Order: sequence, then structure tokens, then C-alpha cells
Amino acid sequence: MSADSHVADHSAEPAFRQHHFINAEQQFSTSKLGMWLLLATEILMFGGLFVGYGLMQSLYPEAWVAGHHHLDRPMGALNTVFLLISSYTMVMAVHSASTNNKRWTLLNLLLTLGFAGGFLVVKYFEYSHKFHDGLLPGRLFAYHGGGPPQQAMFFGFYFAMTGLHGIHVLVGMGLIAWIMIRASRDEFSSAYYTPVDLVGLYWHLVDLIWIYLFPLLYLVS
Amino acid sequence: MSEHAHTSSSSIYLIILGALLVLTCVTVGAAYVDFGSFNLVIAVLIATVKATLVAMFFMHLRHDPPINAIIFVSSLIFLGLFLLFPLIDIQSRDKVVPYGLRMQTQPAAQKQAPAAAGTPGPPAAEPAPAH
Repeated sequence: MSADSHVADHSAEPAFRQHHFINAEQQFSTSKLGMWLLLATEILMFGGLFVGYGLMQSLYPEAWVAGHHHLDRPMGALNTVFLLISSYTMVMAVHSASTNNKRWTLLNLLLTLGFAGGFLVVKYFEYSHKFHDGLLPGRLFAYHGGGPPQQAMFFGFYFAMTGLHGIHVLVGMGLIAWIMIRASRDEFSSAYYTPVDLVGLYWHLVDLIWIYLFPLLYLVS
Repeated sequence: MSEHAHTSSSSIYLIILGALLVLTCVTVGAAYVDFGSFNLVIAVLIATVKATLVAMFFMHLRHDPPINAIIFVSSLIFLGLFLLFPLIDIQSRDKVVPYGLRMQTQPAAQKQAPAAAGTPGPPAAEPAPAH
């Protein structure tokens, strides 16, 4: 609706500028500041799980080693590659949006969405394999192949951490789809692409957390 | 001019992606080499290098006003404190009651060692971690 006016009057008073900001630049950096505060709370939320992981790993290292042998390293590495490439396509989408390149914005967002979907498909195969083997958290643990009993706790951490991360991937996919719809409606330009940038920040954090989850869960020894 | 900036800044993203993929290979490779207890340290160090690259370049902290980096780094510092004090606490105790003494792992452990079924103690054979 107001998409055309965006392009027309971004000289002095851009239509997207909200009245309580001095100018568009201040509005942009304020939005980013808010996003970084949200990311800080995300880090602290995952932090609780990482701290629990660290404490229990220090108490039961042998259970951690036994547990991680049930994880599929190639699958985990493939997912790492998926997320890293998706981070690249995401930053390219932000870059394209900031340079008025709508086609590339949409293409890169679509690729990001595709890699995120690929990540979840791999995760689905991993999860169903764990379910089948009874490698479940806490009292649900029903694996009869032996090993230290604290493996049940390792899988508690595995499912809590990858599960919370997986929810973030799902949310991220929703956000990317939303950004794609808005981009296809010509709502973004080099003057205003804040939502693309902020969703990008969120998506990179999801990647960042996986960068730690992968070695901690799949590669401990 | 802006076209030049465009190409140079988007090619640096590709370089960063390459570095991240190489570092992923290094982590996976290092996991197959036995460095003893240093394996975890090495894995976390490489992950931190990767995370720094993502934050600096993909998340644009390099060009942002420093307040964003301050927020990010302080969240990590508080996370470090959060990890440090419980770790000191739990490591300086004489004895920590092992997890899973009365848990469902009991039948599994009995199935594993039917000879020891006479002893009511579940997987008590599990040595309590000495600290």
C-alpha cells in the first residue's frame, strides 16, 4: 500500500520512520540494539543448558564418551555445513536487500530456507534413529546395550539442547518466510531493510549456537 | 564506487564461509586424534574462532557501534561466571551422589549383570567419581 510512497519520499521524511526517532539511521541502530539485547537473553537461556552440560560432563566424563558414540558424526557435520552455508546465504540476502537487489534477496532467502529445511530433515532422521534405539532422556531411557547409567542424562542434555535449538530453527524459518513475503511486496529498499537485518542476526545466532553444540555433543572424547 | 564496495564486501563473506568450512573439517579431524583431556579444549577453542568470525563478519559487529559488541561480550562473560562458580563448587566436594541410583537404568543394569542380582543395590558398582 505505502510501498510506492517509500521509494518516492525517502529524501527528508521516510514513511517508515517512526515519530519518536530523530532520523532513519537512529531508528535502524536502535532496532539493532534491541535485537542484540534479545540475542543476549537467548545466549543466557541456552547458557543454562551449556552450564548443566559442563557440570555433568565434568562429573561423568565416561558416560559422556559412551553417549556420544551413539551420535552420528557425519550427520552432525552435514548439519553444520548446512547451517554455515545458510548463514552465508542469509548475510547475502541482507546485503542484497541493502543494495536494492530484490531478486537476489528473495533467492538468497529461499536458499536459506532450503538449508534450514535440510537441517531439520537430517535432525528428523537422527531423532527417529535415537527413538528406535531407546536412546531417550532421563527415565525414558530404554537402551539395553550397556554402558554407564548416566548416559540417560547425556541424552537428556542432547534432546534438550538440540530440541531447543531445533525450535529456534523452526522459528527462524517462519521469520525468513515472513521476510520473503514482505520483500516480494517491495517493502524493503536500501533505505529501509531493518527486518531483513534483524532476522539475519537471529539466524546467525542460531548458527552460532550450533557451532558450539556440534563439537560438544558429537565430538567429545 | 558503491559498486566496488558491494563486490568487495560480498566476497569477504565468501572467504569467511570458506574459513568456517575449513575450521569445521579441522574440528572433525581433531576429534579423531587423541589429545587426552585437551580434545574438549581444542574443540571449544576452534568453535570460539568460528563464532568470532560469524559475529564479526556475518553479524556485522566489525562495523557496528561498539555497544552491540559490549552487550554480546558481556552476555558471554556472565555465562562464564555462571559456569565457573558451580564448577568450582561441584569440583571441590568430597562426594557427589551418583545420578541414577534409583532410576530406571536399574533393570538394564540387572539384565546386564544377572549374577549380581542378589545384591539389592542397583548399579552401585558404578564408582562414585572421586574428587
